Amino acid sequence: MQEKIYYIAGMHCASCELLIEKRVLKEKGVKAADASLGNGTLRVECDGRMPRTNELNTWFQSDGYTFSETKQVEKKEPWLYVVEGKGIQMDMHILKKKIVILAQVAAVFFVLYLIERSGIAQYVSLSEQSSLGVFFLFGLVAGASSCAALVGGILLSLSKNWNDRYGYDASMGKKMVPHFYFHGGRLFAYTLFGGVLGSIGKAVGLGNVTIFATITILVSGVMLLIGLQMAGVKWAERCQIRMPKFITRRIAGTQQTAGNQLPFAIGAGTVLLPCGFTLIAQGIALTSGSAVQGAMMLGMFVFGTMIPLLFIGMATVKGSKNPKRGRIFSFYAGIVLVIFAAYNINGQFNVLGIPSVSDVFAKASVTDRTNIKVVRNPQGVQVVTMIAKGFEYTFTSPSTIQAGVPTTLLVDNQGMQGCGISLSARGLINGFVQLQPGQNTIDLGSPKKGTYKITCAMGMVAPITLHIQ
Amino acid sequence: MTTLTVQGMHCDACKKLIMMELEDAGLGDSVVDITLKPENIGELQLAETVTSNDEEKIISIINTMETYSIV
Repeated sequence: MQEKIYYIAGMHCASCELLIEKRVLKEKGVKAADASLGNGTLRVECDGRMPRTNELNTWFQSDGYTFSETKQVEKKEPWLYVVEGKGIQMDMHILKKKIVILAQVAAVFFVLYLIERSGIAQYVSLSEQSSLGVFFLFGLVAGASSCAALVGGILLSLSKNWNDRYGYDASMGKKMVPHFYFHGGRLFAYTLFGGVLGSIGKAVGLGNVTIFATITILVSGVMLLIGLQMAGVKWAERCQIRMPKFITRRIAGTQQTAGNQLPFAIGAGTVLLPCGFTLIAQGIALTSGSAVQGAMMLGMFVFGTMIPLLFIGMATVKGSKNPKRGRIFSFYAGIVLVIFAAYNINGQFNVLGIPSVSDVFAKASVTDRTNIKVVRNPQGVQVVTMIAKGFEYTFTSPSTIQAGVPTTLLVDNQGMQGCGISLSARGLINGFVQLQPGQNTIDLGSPKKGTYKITCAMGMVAPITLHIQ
Repeated sequence: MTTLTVQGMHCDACKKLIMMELEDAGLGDSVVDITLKPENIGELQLAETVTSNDEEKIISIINTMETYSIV
């Protein structure tokens, strides 16, 4: 059995894929034909003679599709070029366009950075007494910060596929339909989960750091691959992660109810990827003691996250208005996605306590440079003290302690912001600890020898390391 | 002349897909014209010689296609 890939220009929707596949499958010897709008390719498996490119071009001439055996490289517009006699010239118009796009991408990260560091999250702190409006505001802040990096990244990676299915000439309203189903799925799943948490009142699903971190790393890995594909990295384009066609076709369904089950399901699946803010909201829902209250708390929280995430969706839809714009947007969106994915993966490495890029920038503990000794209370318990303030954890006692000795961790929360309230220390603490204002006492038992990272639930707070010898 | 209204048709490729399916079933000559309307609606004008049996077959073929349905 032979296999060959042809490159196609001129496809614009799922119907084009089906049309090409059905026609090619009629040829003698052709066993399988798989056209892909997103990749611009036709993969043919054949027992006999493979269709020639000129034959394909003849069959589909009236349909406007052109086939080739090599990828048609788009003519690039150089902003820097050489003119004989005049030397190096700069096309200021093209340069200006590229700078504007780069500036817009940088602005996205700058806004996210500002929101994360602004302290706005401390004005939106949650407790069991918080009103539903506060949960909404908390969600709004989450959607514009750590949720944007994870869920926003998922949306970016899915949007290209959704946009391709509808074609460039589809209206904005139509292209936004899968986004609404995605957020509908999120709202449904989180509201249900909130109800479950509220009614059973146990830490179901909140405990396992390793599971959450592994899922997040896997999802971020897929995000990274998709980002590289969108940015046009050749080896990444060869690694296609494909769902069966009978599932992906449902994304492009034009009927009212059918066709969007997959975006709904993926949106619902994000309940397995809680960010730090989400874990805080889930923790409060857990203590509500009521299914209805828990459901409304998480429902309002997710509703809040929807606003910034819908803006991300609209930006991707606007970016796919025409083929040229779509390609440029795809490139820069791919870069954003790669950065988000790398950020998430690095964060989860911190949560798992394994070496990460954050370690390169980690400051040595101040207490290790002084003669401060490890404190033991009258019961002989080793006491490790730290401050949680702003978006930073700092040891106020030595960061090297003795193994096998009963140990307590005292965390003085002096205004920790955002998802930093959700503390994680894999190997030392089971699950995540929601820091309360003021002193927090955490029993570490008699820890074993090793090196342990203390960070937030998403690994975004620069980790501090406890050495146990 | 009977006109069938089809939901889900939005471009020329949709027209050709439907015609291809009908031709494969030997019913290609039953359709005189296909027109695209707004809101993803297509209208199939059937030939006057089309029997009610053939009309049912055409409706059945279109309804079993993945993204189209007779309204």
